[in-house]
Amino acid sequence: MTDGYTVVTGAVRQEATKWDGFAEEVAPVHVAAQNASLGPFAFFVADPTGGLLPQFDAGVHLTSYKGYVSYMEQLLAGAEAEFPQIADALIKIATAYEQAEKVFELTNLEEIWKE
Amino acid sequence: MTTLEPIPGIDPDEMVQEFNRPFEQLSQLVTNAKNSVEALVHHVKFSPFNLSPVAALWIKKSLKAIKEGLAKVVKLVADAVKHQAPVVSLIVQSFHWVNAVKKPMSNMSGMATNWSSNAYFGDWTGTAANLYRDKAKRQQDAMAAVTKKAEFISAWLYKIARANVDFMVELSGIATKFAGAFVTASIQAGSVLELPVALAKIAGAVGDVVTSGLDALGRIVQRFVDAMKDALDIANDTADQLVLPGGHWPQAVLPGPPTLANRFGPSVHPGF
Repeated sequence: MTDGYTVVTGAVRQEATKWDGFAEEVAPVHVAAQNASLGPFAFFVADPTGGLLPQFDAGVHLTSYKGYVSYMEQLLAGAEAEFPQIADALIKIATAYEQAEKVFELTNLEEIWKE
Repeated sequence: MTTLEPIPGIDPDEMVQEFNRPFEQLSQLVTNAKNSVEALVHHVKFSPFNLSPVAALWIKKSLKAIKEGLAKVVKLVADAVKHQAPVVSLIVQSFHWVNAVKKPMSNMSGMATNWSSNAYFGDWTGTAANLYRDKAKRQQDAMAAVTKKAEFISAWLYKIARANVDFMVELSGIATKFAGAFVTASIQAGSVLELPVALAKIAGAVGDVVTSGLDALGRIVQRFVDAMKDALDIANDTADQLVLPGGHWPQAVLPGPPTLANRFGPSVHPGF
């Protein structure tokens, strides 16, 4: 134990496993968002332009929803890409500790947290 | 952001059934109404009575009003049938946002910075450990934000789904009353004097049913208009700069050439 820090590489590797698990878990969530689109008739069971009912533009619902779905899809794609990279970075940290065969203060964290 | 009623339960089946049920009765009701109108027209056409011109004109006006009322109901039902399957997909999707997105994201959010199952994690201290904790926290915040967003979009769809169910129940009620308007009156149309009076009664009853029915449907339509205000909230909600900068997932690992990536030798981690 030196300079006020300690490390257990097994604990770091366990964290990596956790993020790999998240990567697996978020993949179907991303697919769910990809498949969340709805057709133009999905929002209203009647025809608001038919003249019988108060008129409104049902297309606004569809446009808003489409925008939100692609926003969610973009976010979840980001999560799916990020989680395994976090796992990789943690493995790099653990490997660095192990290869030094001792616990030492890492000086290249910026490089570790880079693709 | 607008507070919306969350979906009750996890199974869309009950709501889908509630939405589909009126359709089962509607085709029969419309057939009955059409048959009743045809029978009336036939009755007038082959009436043994010698109608005065005034009575004939009155009958003609009544029949016209009845046919117009029927046409309105038939149009509403035909539109509904055309939209039935797509609206069912909206109901299902409302629940899917909770089951397939909110739940797993909420689950991950609960685990991201929970180190209770990693017995020796607390022994990792120092700059590298702190940096990782910060990054994990930012990821957790993003997970929590997406959890909330999935719940919001689900509730928004549910509100629209609920209005559609109510619309169908109302439309079914209109068709039932419409078909019922013929039953008593047509029996009375047995004499030369009674025929125009009976037809006028039917025309009046049918007119009332359609007018009050369309009013009720109009109030439900207002709920769709209200949902557009929520749609604006949705648009604004995408500007979540702090947790999701620029509408993107926060990057823990920054893009860039891994210039020193091999400094520690080949990674033992698969996929790296």
